[in-house]
Amino acid sequence: MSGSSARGLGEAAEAAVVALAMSGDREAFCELVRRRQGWLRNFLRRLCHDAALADDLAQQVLLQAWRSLPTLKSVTAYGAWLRRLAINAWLAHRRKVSESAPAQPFEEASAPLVAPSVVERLDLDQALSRLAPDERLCVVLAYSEGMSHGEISAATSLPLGTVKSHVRRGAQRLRGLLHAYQPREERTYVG
Amino acid sequence: MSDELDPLLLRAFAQSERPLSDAEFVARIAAQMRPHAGIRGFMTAALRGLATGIAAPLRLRYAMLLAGTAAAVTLGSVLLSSL
Repeated sequence: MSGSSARGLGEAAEAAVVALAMSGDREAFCELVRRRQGWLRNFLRRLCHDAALADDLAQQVLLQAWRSLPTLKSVTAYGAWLRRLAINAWLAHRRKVSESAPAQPFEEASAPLVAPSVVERLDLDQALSRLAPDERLCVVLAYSEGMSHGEISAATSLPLGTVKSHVRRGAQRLRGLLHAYQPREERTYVG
Repeated sequence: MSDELDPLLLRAFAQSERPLSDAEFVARIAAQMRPHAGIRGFMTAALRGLATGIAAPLRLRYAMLLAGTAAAVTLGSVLLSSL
């Protein structure tokens, strides 16, 4: 945004930009969007495995953030608050999908769907898409967002024991999926 | 963080971040941003005040009109606040 650069918002501390945006400053909020959009869209792409849907959800989240920003309690809590909005948007989307489609048990991928080969690589996002939705959410929050099991439990309303089990089993499956698709001499996972 | 995580998976997640171009996305958001609720609240209050100011002098002689106006103002306020 050229406007934000002209006003020096590009170099300002995030807390200051959040404070400005809370007062209704559109340019300040656009600067916040510019700073966080990459993280938010990547986060939702990992959960959705659908770039267009992830961008639609990211847009919803940011517009909701703009509307609700005056209710934010602390300017330093903006990042965590935005992540909470994103988690809620994803959970709401999943509820909507499961209401409109008949409930079917998620087919867990304990093994790759096709035979692994040296030339074929399964990237992290593809491997994540093979996990059950709740498992995927817990793994992404733990590994990508660095959230503790307790924080994940609070953010998703899943019981702590379920979160622990999802993270452990999800990581185990992810390792298996990524490992199976990699050549023997390159046993580091592809991002 | 006390929860044990697989270091190789942690690295895979860290390396999988993709830079995404922001210009078009930010422009889409900016195009859909409406004024804050605070401004909408101010507009709602102003509308209420205006309607009351117009309707109040008429209230003794035009009770039905007052009731209708109040209903319309309430409906308008609800619609405005839901935008």
